[in-house]
Amino acid sequence: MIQDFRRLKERIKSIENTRKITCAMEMVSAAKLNRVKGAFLASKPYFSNMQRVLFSFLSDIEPVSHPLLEERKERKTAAVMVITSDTGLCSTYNNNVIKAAKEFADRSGREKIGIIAVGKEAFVYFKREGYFVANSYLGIHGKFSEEIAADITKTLTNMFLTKTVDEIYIAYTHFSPNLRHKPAIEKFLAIEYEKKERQYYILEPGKDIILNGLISKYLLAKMRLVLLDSLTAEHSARMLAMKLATDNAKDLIDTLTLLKNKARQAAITKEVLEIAMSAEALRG
Amino acid sequence: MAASFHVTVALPGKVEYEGEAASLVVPAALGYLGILAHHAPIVAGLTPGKITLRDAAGKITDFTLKSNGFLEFSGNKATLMLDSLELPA
Repeated sequence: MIQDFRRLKERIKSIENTRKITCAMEMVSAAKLNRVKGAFLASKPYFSNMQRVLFSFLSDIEPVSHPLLEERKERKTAAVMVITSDTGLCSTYNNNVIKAAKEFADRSGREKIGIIAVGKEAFVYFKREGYFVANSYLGIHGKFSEEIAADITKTLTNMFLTKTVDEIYIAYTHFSPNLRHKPAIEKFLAIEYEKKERQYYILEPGKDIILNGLISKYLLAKMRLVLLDSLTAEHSARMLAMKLATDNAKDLIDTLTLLKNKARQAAITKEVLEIAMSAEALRG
Repeated sequence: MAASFHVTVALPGKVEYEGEAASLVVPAALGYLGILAHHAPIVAGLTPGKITLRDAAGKITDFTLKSNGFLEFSGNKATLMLDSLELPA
Protein backbone atom coordinates (compact mmCIF):
# COMPACT_ATOMS: atom_id res chain seq x y z
CA MET A 1 0.00 0.00 0.00
CA ILE A 2 2.57 2.50 1.14
CA GLN A 3 4.91 1.25 -1.64
CA ASP A 4 2.15 1.89 -4.18
CA PHE A 5 1.84 5.39 -2.89
CA ARG A 6 5.58 6.05 -3.18
CA ARG A 7 5.79 4.52 -6.64
CA LEU A 8 2.92 6.63 -7.92
CA LYS A 9 4.48 9.75 -6.45
CA GLU A 10 7.73 9.02 -8.30
CA ARG A 11 5.90 8.45 -11.56
CA ILE A 12 3.93 11.64 -11.28
CA LYS A 13 7.11 13.55 -10.66
CA SER A 14 8.80 12.12 -13.74
CA ILE A 15 5.77 12.77 -15.95
CA GLU A 16 5.60 16.29 -14.60
CA ASN A 17 9.19 16.80 -15.75
CA THR A 18 8.37 15.47 -19.21
CA ARG A 19 5.39 17.75 -19.37
CA LYS A 20 7.55 20.74 -18.55
CA ILE A 21 9.95 19.83 -21.35
CA THR A 22 7.28 19.29 -24.01
CA CYS A 23 5.56 22.47 -22.93
CA ALA A 24 8.81 24.41 -23.35
CA MET A 25 9.38 22.80 -26.74
CA GLU A 26 5.90 23.78 -27.78
CA MET A 27 6.58 27.38 -26.93
CA VAL A 28 9.91 27.35 -28.74
CA SER A 29 8.22 25.92 -31.84
CA ALA A 30 5.49 28.51 -31.63
CA ALA A 31 8.05 31.31 -31.61
CA LYS A 32 9.96 29.79 -34.52
CA LEU A 33 6.73 29.19 -36.41
CA ASN A 34 5.77 32.84 -36.09
CA ARG A 35 9.05 33.99 -37.52
CA VAL A 36 9.23 31.57 -40.43
CA LYS A 37 5.55 31.90 -41.26
CA GLY A 38 5.94 35.66 -41.54
CA ALA A 39 8.87 35.20 -43.89
CA PHE A 40 6.92 32.63 -45.92
CA LEU A 41 3.86 34.80 -46.39
CA ALA A 42 5.99 37.84 -47.16
CA SER A 43 7.87 36.07 -49.92
CA LYS A 44 4.75 34.93 -51.76
CA PRO A 45 4.01 38.17 -53.68
CA TYR A 46 7.54 38.40 -55.07
CA PHE A 47 7.40 34.82 -56.28
CA SER A 48 3.94 35.06 -57.85
CA ASN A 49 4.86 38.28 -59.65
CA MET A 50 8.10 36.75 -60.83
CA GLN A 51 6.27 33.68 -62.09
CA ARG A 52 3.60 35.71 -63.85
CA VAL A 53 6.16 37.95 -65.57
CA LEU A 54 8.39 35.05 -66.58
CA PHE A 55 5.48 33.05 -67.99
CA SER A 56 4.01 35.90 -69.99
CA PHE A 57 7.48 36.93 -71.15
CA LEU A 58 8.12 33.38 -72.35
CA SER A 59 4.75 33.22 -74.11
CA ASP A 60 5.66 36.50 -75.75
CA ILE A 61 9.01 35.48 -77.21
CA GLU A 62 8.03 32.02 -78.43
CA PRO A 63 9.57 29.93 -79.86
CA VAL A 64 12.08 30.15 -77.09
CA SER A 65 15.17 28.08 -76.59
CA HIS A 66 17.08 28.02 -73.36
CA PRO A 67 18.96 25.10 -71.79
CA LEU A 68 16.88 25.36 -68.60
CA LEU A 69 13.61 25.22 -70.51
CA GLU A 70 14.48 22.37 -72.76
CA GLU A 71 12.62 19.11 -72.16
CA ARG A 72 15.08 16.33 -72.85
CA LYS A 73 13.80 13.70 -75.22
CA GLU A 74 15.59 10.93 -73.46
CA ARG A 75 15.00 11.02 -69.74
CA LYS A 76 17.43 8.58 -68.28
CA THR A 77 18.03 10.01 -64.87
CA ALA A 78 16.20 12.27 -62.48
CA ALA A 79 16.90 13.85 -59.15
CA VAL A 80 14.40 14.26 -56.36
CA MET A 81 15.12 16.77 -53.69
CA VAL A 82 13.39 15.78 -50.45
CA ILE A 83 12.91 18.43 -47.79
CA THR A 84 12.61 17.11 -44.24
CA SER A 85 13.67 18.28 -40.82
CA ASP A 86 16.91 17.43 -39.04
CA THR A 87 15.23 16.19 -35.90
CA GLY A 88 12.20 14.10 -35.08
CA LEU A 89 9.38 14.86 -32.62
CA CYS A 90 7.20 16.44 -35.27
CA SER A 91 4.58 13.72 -35.71
CA THR A 92 4.02 12.65 -39.32
CA TYR A 93 5.73 15.64 -40.96
CA ASN A 94 8.80 13.71 -42.13
CA ASN A 95 7.04 10.41 -42.76
CA ASN A 96 4.52 11.88 -45.15
CA VAL A 97 6.96 13.63 -47.41
CA ILE A 98 9.42 10.74 -47.36
CA LYS A 99 6.65 8.34 -48.26
CA ALA A 100 5.51 10.53 -51.14
CA ALA A 101 9.07 10.86 -52.43
CA LYS A 102 9.69 7.13 -52.12
CA GLU A 103 6.56 6.27 -54.05
CA PHE A 104 7.52 8.76 -56.71
CA ALA A 105 11.05 7.36 -56.95
CA ASP A 106 9.83 3.76 -57.14
CA ARG A 107 7.31 4.65 -59.80
CA SER A 108 9.91 6.23 -62.06
CA GLY A 109 12.35 3.42 -61.45
CA ARG A 110 14.53 3.34 -58.40
CA GLU A 111 17.83 3.02 -60.22
CA LYS A 112 17.16 6.13 -62.30
CA ILE A 113 16.70 8.38 -59.32
CA GLY A 114 19.24 10.30 -57.31
CA ILE A 115 18.07 11.69 -54.00
CA ILE A 116 19.07 15.11 -52.78
CA ALA A 117 18.38 15.08 -49.10
CA VAL A 118 17.63 18.29 -47.26
CA GLY A 119 17.48 17.46 -43.57
CA LYS A 120 18.89 14.51 -41.68
CA GLU A 121 15.67 12.49 -41.63
CA ALA A 122 15.57 12.15 -45.41
CA PHE A 123 19.29 11.46 -45.58
CA VAL A 124 19.18 8.67 -43.01
CA TYR A 125 16.06 7.08 -44.47
CA PHE A 126 17.11 6.94 -48.12
CA LYS A 127 20.64 5.87 -47.24
CA ARG A 128 19.29 3.01 -45.13
CA GLU A 129 16.84 1.93 -47.82
CA GLY A 130 19.68 1.74 -50.33
CA TYR A 131 18.78 4.64 -52.59
CA PHE A 132 21.45 6.66 -54.29
CA VAL A 133 21.85 9.85 -52.28
CA ALA A 134 23.52 12.26 -54.65
CA ASN A 135 23.82 15.20 -52.33
CA SER A 136 22.72 16.28 -48.89
CA TYR A 137 22.16 19.46 -46.94
CA LEU A 138 22.13 18.83 -43.24
CA GLY A 139 22.07 21.09 -40.23
CA ILE A 140 19.48 23.62 -41.36
CA HIS A 141 17.65 22.98 -38.07
CA GLY A 142 14.50 24.76 -39.04
CA LYS A 143 16.26 28.01 -39.81
CA PHE A 144 15.94 29.57 -43.22
CA SER A 145 18.98 31.21 -44.75
CA GLU A 146 19.42 32.94 -48.08
CA GLU A 147 22.81 31.26 -48.54
CA ILE A 148 21.35 27.77 -48.36
CA ALA A 149 18.61 28.61 -50.85
CA ALA A 150 21.14 30.12 -53.26
CA ASP A 151 23.54 27.23 -52.76
CA ILE A 152 20.92 24.54 -53.45
CA THR A 153 19.58 26.40 -56.48
CA LYS A 154 23.07 26.68 -57.93
CA THR A 155 23.87 23.04 -57.34
CA LEU A 156 20.60 21.82 -58.87
CA THR A 157 20.99 24.09 -61.90
CA ASN A 158 24.52 22.83 -62.45
CA MET A 159 23.40 19.21 -62.16
CA PHE A 160 20.83 19.85 -64.84
CA LEU A 161 23.08 21.86 -67.17
CA THR A 162 25.95 19.36 -67.02
CA LYS A 163 23.40 16.64 -67.92
CA THR A 164 24.11 14.69 -64.75
CA VAL A 165 20.34 14.43 -64.54
CA ASP A 166 17.60 15.04 -67.09
CA GLU A 167 14.89 16.19 -64.71
CA ILE A 168 14.74 17.58 -61.20
CA TYR A 169 11.79 17.35 -58.83
CA ILE A 170 11.21 18.74 -55.38
CA ALA A 171 9.30 16.84 -52.71
CA TYR A 172 8.26 19.18 -49.93
CA THR A 173 5.47 19.79 -47.46
CA HIS A 174 2.87 22.37 -48.23
CA PHE A 175 1.82 24.38 -45.21
CA SER A 176 -1.91 24.67 -44.72
CA PRO A 177 -3.48 26.90 -42.08
CA ASN A 178 -5.86 24.19 -40.93
CA LEU A 179 -2.82 22.11 -39.94
CA ARG A 180 -3.40 19.38 -42.53
CA HIS A 181 -0.06 19.77 -44.21
CA LYS A 182 0.20 17.88 -47.46
CA PRO A 183 3.32 16.58 -49.14
CA ALA A 184 3.73 17.83 -52.69
CA ILE A 185 6.01 16.95 -55.58
CA GLU A 186 6.79 19.62 -58.12
CA LYS A 187 9.03 19.81 -61.11
CA PHE A 188 11.92 22.21 -60.68
CA LEU A 189 13.83 21.73 -63.93
CA ALA A 190 13.30 21.84 -66.84
CA ILE A 191 11.00 24.81 -66.25
CA GLU A 192 7.46 24.16 -67.38
CA TYR A 193 5.30 27.17 -68.05
CA GLU A 194 1.72 27.80 -68.92
CA LYS A 195 0.97 29.92 -71.93
CA LYS A 196 -0.32 33.40 -71.34
CA GLU A 197 -1.84 35.97 -73.57
CA ARG A 198 0.67 37.75 -75.80
CA GLN A 199 1.56 41.19 -74.54
CA TYR A 200 3.94 42.34 -77.28
CA TYR A 201 6.45 43.56 -74.75
CA ILE A 202 9.09 46.15 -75.49
CA LEU A 203 12.30 44.54 -74.25
CA GLU A 204 15.14 46.48 -72.74
CA PRO A 205 18.05 45.85 -73.01
CA GLY A 206 17.47 42.64 -74.99
CA LYS A 207 15.75 39.29 -75.06
CA ASP A 208 18.59 37.08 -73.94
CA ILE A 209 19.76 39.19 -71.02
CA ILE A 210 16.22 39.47 -69.67
CA LEU A 211 15.57 35.77 -70.23
CA ASN A 212 18.67 34.71 -68.31
CA GLY A 213 18.04 37.18 -65.54
CA LEU A 214 14.38 36.27 -65.10
CA ILE A 215 15.07 32.56 -65.10
CA SER A 216 17.78 32.69 -62.46
CA LYS A 217 15.71 35.00 -60.23
CA TYR A 218 12.64 32.82 -60.71
CA LEU A 219 14.44 29.61 -59.74
CA LEU A 220 15.89 31.24 -56.64
CA ALA A 221 12.50 32.64 -55.67
CA LYS A 222 10.93 29.21 -56.13
CA MET A 223 13.57 27.54 -53.98
CA ARG A 224 13.09 30.15 -51.26
CA LEU A 225 9.35 29.64 -51.31
CA VAL A 226 9.53 25.85 -51.21
CA LEU A 227 12.01 25.87 -48.33
CA LEU A 228 10.01 28.42 -46.36
CA ASP A 229 6.81 26.49 -47.03
CA SER A 230 8.36 23.30 -45.65
CA LEU A 231 9.88 25.02 -42.65
CA THR A 232 6.55 26.62 -41.78
CA ALA A 233 4.87 23.22 -41.99
CA GLU A 234 7.65 21.67 -39.91
CA HIS A 235 7.36 24.12 -37.04
CA SER A 236 3.62 23.96 -37.10
CA ALA A 237 3.69 20.14 -37.05
CA ARG A 238 6.20 20.16 -34.23
CA MET A 239 4.18 22.63 -32.21
CA LEU A 240 1.09 20.49 -32.57
CA ALA A 241 2.97 17.30 -31.65
CA MET A 242 4.35 18.94 -28.53
CA LYS A 243 0.97 20.32 -27.59
CA LEU A 244 -0.53 16.83 -27.83
CA ALA A 245 2.30 15.43 -25.74
CA THR A 246 1.76 18.11 -23.11
CA ASP A 247 -1.98 17.42 -23.01
CA ASN A 248 -1.36 13.69 -22.72
CA ALA A 249 1.03 14.24 -19.85
CA LYS A 250 -1.56 16.39 -18.12
CA ASP A 251 -4.22 13.68 -18.47
CA LEU A 252 -1.83 11.05 -17.22
CA ILE A 253 -0.91 13.17 -14.21
CA ASP A 254 -4.59 13.64 -13.36
CA THR A 255 -5.28 9.90 -13.50
CA LEU A 256 -2.20 9.06 -11.48
CA THR A 257 -2.97 11.71 -8.87
CA LEU A 258 -6.35 10.13 -8.34
CA LEU A 259 -4.72 6.73 -7.91
CA LYS A 260 -2.12 8.23 -5.60
CA ASN A 261 -4.81 9.76 -3.38
CA LYS A 262 -6.67 6.46 -3.27
CA ALA A 263 -3.50 4.63 -2.29
CA ARG A 264 -2.77 7.18 0.43
CA GLN A 265 -6.31 6.94 1.76
CA ALA A 266 -6.11 3.17 1.77
CA ALA A 267 -2.85 3.31 3.73
CA ILE A 268 -4.37 5.68 6.29
CA THR A 269 -7.48 3.57 6.69
CA LYS A 270 -5.37 0.51 7.18
CA GLU A 271 -3.28 2.22 9.84
CA VAL A 272 -6.32 3.50 11.72
CA LEU A 273 -7.82 0.05 11.58
CA GLU A 274 -4.65 -1.47 13.00
CA ILE A 275 -4.52 1.06 15.84
CA ALA A 276 -8.16 0.53 16.66
CA MET A 277 -7.74 -3.21 16.64
CA SER A 278 -4.68 -3.17 18.92
CA ALA A 279 -6.46 -0.77 21.31
CA GLU A 280 -9.37 -3.17 21.36
CA ALA A 281 -6.99 -6.06 22.09
CA LEU A 282 -5.27 -4.17 24.94
CA ARG A 283 -8.60 -3.34 26.59
CA GLY A 284 -9.76 -6.89 26.31
CA MET B 1 -7.68 63.90 -62.23
CA ALA B 2 -4.48 62.86 -63.97
CA ALA B 3 -4.38 59.31 -65.23
CA SER B 4 -2.67 56.97 -62.80
CA PHE B 5 -1.52 53.38 -62.76
CA HIS B 6 -0.92 50.70 -60.18
CA VAL B 7 2.59 50.10 -58.85
CA THR B 8 3.85 47.12 -56.87
CA VAL B 9 7.40 47.11 -55.57
CA ALA B 10 8.21 43.56 -54.48
CA LEU B 11 11.37 42.40 -52.73
CA PRO B 12 12.08 38.70 -52.14
CA GLY B 13 10.99 38.97 -48.51
CA LYS B 14 8.44 41.77 -48.55
CA VAL B 15 6.23 44.10 -50.56
CA GLU B 16 7.81 47.50 -50.20
CA TYR B 17 5.19 49.62 -51.91
CA GLU B 18 1.77 49.06 -53.35
CA GLY B 19 -0.46 51.80 -54.65
CA GLU B 20 -1.39 54.21 -57.38
CA ALA B 21 1.17 56.41 -59.07
CA ALA B 22 1.06 59.18 -61.65
CA SER B 23 4.61 58.68 -62.87
CA LEU B 24 7.56 56.43 -62.25
CA VAL B 25 11.20 56.82 -63.25
CA VAL B 26 13.45 53.77 -63.06
CA PRO B 27 17.14 53.15 -63.84
CA ALA B 28 16.84 50.74 -66.77
CA ALA B 29 19.79 48.98 -68.33
CA LEU B 30 20.09 51.53 -71.15
CA GLY B 31 19.38 54.63 -69.12
CA TYR B 32 16.60 56.12 -67.02
CA LEU B 33 13.13 55.23 -68.15
CA GLY B 34 9.99 57.21 -67.42
CA ILE B 35 6.65 55.44 -67.14
CA LEU B 36 3.27 57.10 -67.31
CA ALA B 37 -0.20 55.58 -67.24
CA HIS B 38 -1.10 53.34 -70.19
CA HIS B 39 2.49 52.82 -71.19
CA ALA B 40 2.99 50.09 -73.79
CA PRO B 41 3.79 46.67 -72.29
CA ILE B 42 7.48 46.50 -71.42
CA VAL B 43 9.94 44.29 -69.59
CA ALA B 44 13.12 46.06 -68.58
CA GLY B 45 16.20 45.03 -66.67
CA LEU B 46 17.14 47.50 -63.96
CA THR B 47 20.55 48.55 -62.71
CA PRO B 48 21.52 50.26 -59.44
CA GLY B 49 20.27 53.82 -59.31
CA LYS B 50 17.42 55.99 -58.15
CA ILE B 51 13.74 55.09 -58.48
CA THR B 52 11.42 58.09 -58.38
CA LEU B 53 7.74 57.60 -57.80
CA ARG B 54 5.17 60.39 -57.97
CA ASP B 55 1.77 59.48 -56.62
CA ALA B 56 -1.61 60.84 -57.70
CA ALA B 57 -1.41 63.70 -55.18
CA GLY B 58 1.94 64.79 -56.55
CA LYS B 59 3.99 63.52 -53.62
CA ILE B 60 7.43 62.31 -54.71
CA THR B 61 9.19 59.33 -53.14
CA ASP B 62 12.78 58.37 -53.96
CA PHE B 63 14.08 54.86 -53.45
CA THR B 64 17.69 53.86 -53.95
CA LEU B 65 18.09 50.62 -55.84
CA LYS B 66 21.24 48.83 -54.77
CA SER B 67 20.97 45.72 -56.86
CA ASN B 68 19.62 44.57 -60.18
CA GLY B 69 15.99 43.93 -60.78
CA PHE B 70 13.17 43.96 -63.28
CA LEU B 71 10.34 46.20 -64.25
CA GLU B 72 7.28 44.86 -65.97
CA PHE B 73 4.40 46.98 -67.22
CA SER B 74 1.21 45.55 -68.65
CA GLY B 75 -2.51 46.20 -68.25
CA ASN B 76 -1.77 49.60 -66.66
CA LYS B 77 0.08 47.88 -63.84
CA ALA B 78 3.76 48.28 -63.09
CA THR B 79 5.56 45.57 -61.17
CA LEU B 80 9.07 46.06 -59.88
CA MET B 81 10.93 43.00 -58.70
CA LEU B 82 14.09 43.97 -56.88
CA ASP B 83 16.69 42.24 -54.74
CA SER B 84 17.30 45.04 -52.30
CA LEU B 85 16.18 48.56 -51.87
CA GLU B 86 17.06 51.50 -49.68
CA LEU B 87 14.16 53.51 -48.41
CA PRO B 88 14.03 57.27 -48.62
CA ALA B 89 15.87 58.79 -45.69
